[in-house]
Amino acid sequence: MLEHPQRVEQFKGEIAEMKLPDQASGRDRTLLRVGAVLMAVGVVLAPVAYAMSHGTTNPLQQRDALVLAITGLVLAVVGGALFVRYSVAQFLRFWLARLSWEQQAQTDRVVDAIQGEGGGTGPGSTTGTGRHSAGGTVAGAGAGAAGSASGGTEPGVGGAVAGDTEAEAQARHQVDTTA
Amino acid sequence: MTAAEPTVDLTVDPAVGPAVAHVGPTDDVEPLLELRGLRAGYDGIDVLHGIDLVVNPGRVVAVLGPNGAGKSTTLKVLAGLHPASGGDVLVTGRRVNGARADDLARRGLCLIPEGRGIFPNLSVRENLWMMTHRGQTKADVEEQAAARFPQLSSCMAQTAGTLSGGQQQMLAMARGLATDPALLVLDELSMGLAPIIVDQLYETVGQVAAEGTSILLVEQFARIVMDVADDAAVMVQGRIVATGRPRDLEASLSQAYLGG
Repeated sequence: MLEHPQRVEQFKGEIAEMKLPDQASGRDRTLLRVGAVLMAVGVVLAPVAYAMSHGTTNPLQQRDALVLAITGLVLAVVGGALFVRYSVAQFLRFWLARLSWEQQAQTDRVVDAIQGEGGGTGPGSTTGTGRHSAGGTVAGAGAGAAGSASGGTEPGVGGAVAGDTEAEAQARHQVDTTA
Repeated sequence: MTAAEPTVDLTVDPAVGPAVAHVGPTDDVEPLLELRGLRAGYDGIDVLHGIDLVVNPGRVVAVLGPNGAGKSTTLKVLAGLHPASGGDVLVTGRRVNGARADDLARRGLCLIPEGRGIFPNLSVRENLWMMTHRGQTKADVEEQAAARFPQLSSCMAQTAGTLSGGQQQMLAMARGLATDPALLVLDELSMGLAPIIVDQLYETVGQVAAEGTSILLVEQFARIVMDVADDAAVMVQGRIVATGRPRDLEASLSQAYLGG
């Protein structure tokens, strides 16, 4: 048997990793099924109403068939809406999660880029952020300080910085254009 | 027990008497199990009316109360066998409402239910083999069971359903302990057993507690658990009406059982 504190830690870890069923997904599934059933019922009611109306010359019965057909139409529309809503819910959730992840990643890149340039702030860069030498290529963001310290000129927009990845360069470009 | 001394926080609702109670220390120890305003019922009728209970690591907490108080329902809800209609079940700080019972059991929340829950048509050995899901070998499980309950070692090949009530309860406990539980939950261990067997079983519970396993036990016969439990809560009609050290609760217990 494991020692108690170790077991408690292990338990804690396992509980933290445990996947819990999403209670909302159960409701979504039910509504999805309700939608499908309503849609099917609506679709079935239309030919039934047609047959009913076609098989009689009695206008009262034909009006009943008309009401039935309209009810079927309403059911099909409502059911279809429910079905579409809840069948795409899963996809929409994923899409939303992806969007927010991408946004976060983009923000991180921008923050990294800003911090990288902030890190380059050194003596002599009091007039600015110490960002970039003139349109030039400098080795690393921190080297921008040298540019500023030596009375460096304004940053060259989109100026490539050695060691940047394409994404970082893009983020840097964004920062530059924003600035 | 090793944990800090418990404190009792009894909040009294003037309308219904002391209904909200917290058992356990208030220091920085993260509770292993916490019930917050737990509600549950059957067929839309609530039988638990907001249970608050805390089990800290290494503590033995007893929930006492008369028949029909909601003790077993509380255990079923926290073990994932019955849905909560309100409130939260937190295990090591994580809300686990809706978690599957087998998921919780596999991770170390072990419930030994009322009625023992053994497989009566399987042999004792086969019953024990069911508990190898945490990586133990069959031999390990058998060895552990025999060491803890020597009476079982002589009847490993016997069909579990033909064991005496006491032996069946020992088997149930051996099965539970074989999983190396982090939290052992015992429901009415003494039910239908001779007092001498009950004493033996609670001696084992004491040993398990001394090894540091946290235990939540439910017992109708309150006096049995007085020596084993660190903290106790008295439950009546789906509410916890008093908490504290077991010895301090004797007056509340008399009131709960006799309805005074």
